[in-house]
Amino acid sequence: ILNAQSREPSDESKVLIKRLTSVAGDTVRFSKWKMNGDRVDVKVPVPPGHVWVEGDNAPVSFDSRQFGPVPSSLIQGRVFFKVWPPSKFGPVRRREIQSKSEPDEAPFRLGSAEEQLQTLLEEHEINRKEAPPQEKTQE
Amino acid sequence: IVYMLRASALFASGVYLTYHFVGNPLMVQGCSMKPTLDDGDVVWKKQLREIKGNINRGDIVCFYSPIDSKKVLITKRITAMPSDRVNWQGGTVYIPPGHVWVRGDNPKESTDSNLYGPIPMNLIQGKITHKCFPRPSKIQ
Repeated sequence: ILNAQSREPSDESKVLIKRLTSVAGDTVRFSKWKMNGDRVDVKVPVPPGHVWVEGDNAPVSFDSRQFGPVPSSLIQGRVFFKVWPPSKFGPVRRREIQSKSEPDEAPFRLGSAEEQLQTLLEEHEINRKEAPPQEKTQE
Repeated sequence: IVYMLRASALFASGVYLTYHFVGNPLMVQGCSMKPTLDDGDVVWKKQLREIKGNINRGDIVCFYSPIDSKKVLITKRITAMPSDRVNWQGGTVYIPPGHVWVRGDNPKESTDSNLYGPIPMNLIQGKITHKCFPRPSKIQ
């Protein structure tokens, strides 16, 4: 919805620019493809105080689909204008995100943060064992 | 009167720059860091411009809360660095690169990595180096 600029959670020296597509309380759905071609449909709830970011160029974007929800406090600012090149000079607009995510019905309870953390940690462990180390050359 | 305005503007910008580049005093809230830090203590937070080489296991750091979208500063001790493993709830947690595990010195009263997991290092804003009040001392 907004373009946000944030310090990357997995590399402390990098700043990333992505679009903010979901906020705390929503559940994000997307598909992951494993190394053998299998498709996995993933549902990730966005914990309180976090946001979900995705690059506009989805196939090549290194974003929340790889590193998960990002704490909002990591956000440094909002991209609102393109200065260069001159052909692209102009404001950067918000975009309405179609329902790739759905708002949760249940109110958030502090207890469920532990379950969400457990899920995120399990997922990370699995990714770490399966996938070859991802290069940070992706944008 | 112009002299006073100019002097106070200079003083204010001096304070602001110190806050931003050197550090600032901070009052501790809550008991999550007892016995090291107690509710009402004043400590000195050293501003960290670059995080990577400057923090280590055992440092007390100030970081923005990962679970609160308002930028609330939390103070805890780093107990594990990237690629360490931490015992958690009967299993182990692997600390990914760019993250640290933080715990309060008073674990029963502390909301810390035990609740929200490893925190990205980029949330860290500074580290506590000294206690100013009640008894001035250097923090180990």
